[in-house]
Amino acid sequence: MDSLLIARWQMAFTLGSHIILACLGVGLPVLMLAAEWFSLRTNDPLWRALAHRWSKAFAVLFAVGAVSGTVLSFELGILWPKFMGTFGSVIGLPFTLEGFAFFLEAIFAGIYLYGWNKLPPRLHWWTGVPIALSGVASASFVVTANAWMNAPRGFTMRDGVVVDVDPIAAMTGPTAAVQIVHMLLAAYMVTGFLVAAFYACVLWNKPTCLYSRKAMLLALWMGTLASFPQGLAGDWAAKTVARTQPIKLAAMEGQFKTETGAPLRIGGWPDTITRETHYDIEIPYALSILAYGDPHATVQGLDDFPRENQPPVVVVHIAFQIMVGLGTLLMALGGWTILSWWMKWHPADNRWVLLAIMASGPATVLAMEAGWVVTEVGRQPWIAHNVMRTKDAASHIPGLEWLFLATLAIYLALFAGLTIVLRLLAAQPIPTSSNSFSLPAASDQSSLS
Amino acid sequence: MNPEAILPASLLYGILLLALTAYAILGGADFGAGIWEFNTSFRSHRRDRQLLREVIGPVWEANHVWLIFVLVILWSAMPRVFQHLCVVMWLPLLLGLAGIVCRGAAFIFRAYSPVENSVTRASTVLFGLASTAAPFFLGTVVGGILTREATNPRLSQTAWLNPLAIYSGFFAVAVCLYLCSVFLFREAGLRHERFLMEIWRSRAMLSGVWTGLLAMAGLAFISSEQPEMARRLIWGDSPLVLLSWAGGMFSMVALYFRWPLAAVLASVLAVAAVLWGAGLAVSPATMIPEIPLDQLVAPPSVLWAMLVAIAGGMLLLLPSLAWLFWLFKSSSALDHEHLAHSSHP
Repeated sequence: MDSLLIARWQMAFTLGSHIILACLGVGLPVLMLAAEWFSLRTNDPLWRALAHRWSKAFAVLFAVGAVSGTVLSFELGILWPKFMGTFGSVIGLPFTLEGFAFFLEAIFAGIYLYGWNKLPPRLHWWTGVPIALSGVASASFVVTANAWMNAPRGFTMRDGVVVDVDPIAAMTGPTAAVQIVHMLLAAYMVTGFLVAAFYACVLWNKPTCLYSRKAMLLALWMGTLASFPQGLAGDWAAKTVARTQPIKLAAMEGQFKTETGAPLRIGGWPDTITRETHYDIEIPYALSILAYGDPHATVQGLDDFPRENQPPVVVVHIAFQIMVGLGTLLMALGGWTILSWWMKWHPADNRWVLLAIMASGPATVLAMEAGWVVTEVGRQPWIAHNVMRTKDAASHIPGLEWLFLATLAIYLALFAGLTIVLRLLAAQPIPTSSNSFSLPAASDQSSLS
Repeated sequence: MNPEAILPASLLYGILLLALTAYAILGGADFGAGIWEFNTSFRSHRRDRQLLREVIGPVWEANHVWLIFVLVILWSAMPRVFQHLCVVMWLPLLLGLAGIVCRGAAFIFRAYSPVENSVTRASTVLFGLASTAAPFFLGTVVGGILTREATNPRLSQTAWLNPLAIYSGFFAVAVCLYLCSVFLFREAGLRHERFLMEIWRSRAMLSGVWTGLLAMAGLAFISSEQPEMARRLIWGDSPLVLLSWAGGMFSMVALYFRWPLAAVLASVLAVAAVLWGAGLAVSPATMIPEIPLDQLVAPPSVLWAMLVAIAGGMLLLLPSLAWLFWLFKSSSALDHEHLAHSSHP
């Protein structure tokens, strides 16, 4: 493997790991605040126990996310020195703001996590609010920088040097708003469905555990509420890509030739030799309608662009299909959640639904990762679209493959440790004295978690 | 250099040095906790170790965000300097980074693991090792920048492999130990634990003497290897080395007479003055002479936008940080606390 490819794998692997932790860092504070809110309102010890438990899980995940985020900020310079040296100033403002958001998150995490017995209950709840808000803010600022890579603007290049920088224009590019909304909703979906999936696994063996039933339902609702607007955000994102990066849209859709009234291709395999997408289901005119709102709009194909500017179409198309497909299924699960609320069913009482919820956890992570592959691989061969090629940004330090191996080993240990600690936390008995933890009819009163 | 850029660039360099100082002091004391725990683990008793963990628990995360802050300011305001440092210092940076990663994860795994098991045992070892490795390698980076400055026209890949840079790594570890022990002397006092206070007082005095001796040896070393650098450090524009010496000396006096707060402030002064002396002795301009200075820093529009963002951000950050430290580090808040001694929230 050449060093460029290793550097890309290194970045993909570390960012792909961090993004899961980052999503939980955005979503878990909301769950934890919701549980604490219910506990303050109802005085139900179960809600308080849940808030406690989730705040501990958040503490561990936030700390690991913070270190994996530190890794990324070093890697930006070590793996892509030319990119940072040239454009560091242009994307500096969102990163500066992100620094503050992250700082506030860390400060209030300290206050909230260690303040349970120090602060009055209501004040304690309020100290959690900045955690949730700064999580949203830091995710937004980081995504802003990524949005800039997809649609660079706010500067002029003169002899390879950036001049006339307008940092505000660079921050408010055409892709920023939609990318932020899409990513934040994804973060809430990931947290909601992942947490719900965990409690679904518990409920599979102990379907009457009241604690897990409450926890699963709350998390499921978070995923549900995020999944429907995500459909709209996805549509908005596709329209933005059509406008700003038509070549990426062509790769996403497996559209090789420019076509008027282009069909939407579901599934299929893009054949890069015959320049056609095979085995797909085609919905006539649908792509033109979705991308441009007009059945006879012209959709540019990959072959309209020089070969050296084309992204790897197979990866991008398949990843896009995975994201959309899983997203649709998750939305269906959300629909079922709403229906069951209407019908006063509890999802834990239906084995099939429980299975679906268990699957939704990995599915939502996979969908999010696939979406990220679409946006990153779909931008290749550029690190900054039409401005700098990834290969020109890469580092030439020796022994990158060893660095990658070492990173794999460290992250493996990190995630193994994380899993063990989270499982130990989950296996702890619930620290309250109430005995109303199971449904009245339950026979097994002792099994709480 | 573009005259419009001089003012904002100087302001941002000052902010960068301030943030670096905050990281060196708060993050340094934090690393020190890991180094102390590791080095005393066979003879310290339970409460001793417990205090170490308890003290850093609520604040360690915030203490380490200063590093992110330093990196972000560096790459936004001086992108070419960041690029250059990453190219020539990639190895010590990565090794330091590995230390930061392992230490953060190890600390949190141990603090939140409800039972003693293989993960917590491995974490304890890793926490100590990584707490030592991180300041060592970050110290060599600073030392490498500092020492190559005077002799070599250009910072090179081996800049961190000269004797002075390695010395700086050891010095950084000593500074962490010293800061942490002085801080813990005060923390033990806040918790009215006379016995621990005495332990940390003697540790602080010992590590203070050691750090002082190391500093003097370092100065002698620099004087013989790089007289020009030594001249700038000691007799340069500002007598910061002398200030540091005075701070260190006064911290010893304060420790001797058992004045916790004075000892803390004096040790902070001692460390901050060294960093500022070093920070003023180098300039980003001479590090990469082949790039003209106005290409080394970001355009004025970016610098001003950053300054506005930093000013606005500080309005939120400083009161929050003050509250955090007041809640967990002030005598009045700790006196009202009736918590069981536990590192778990």
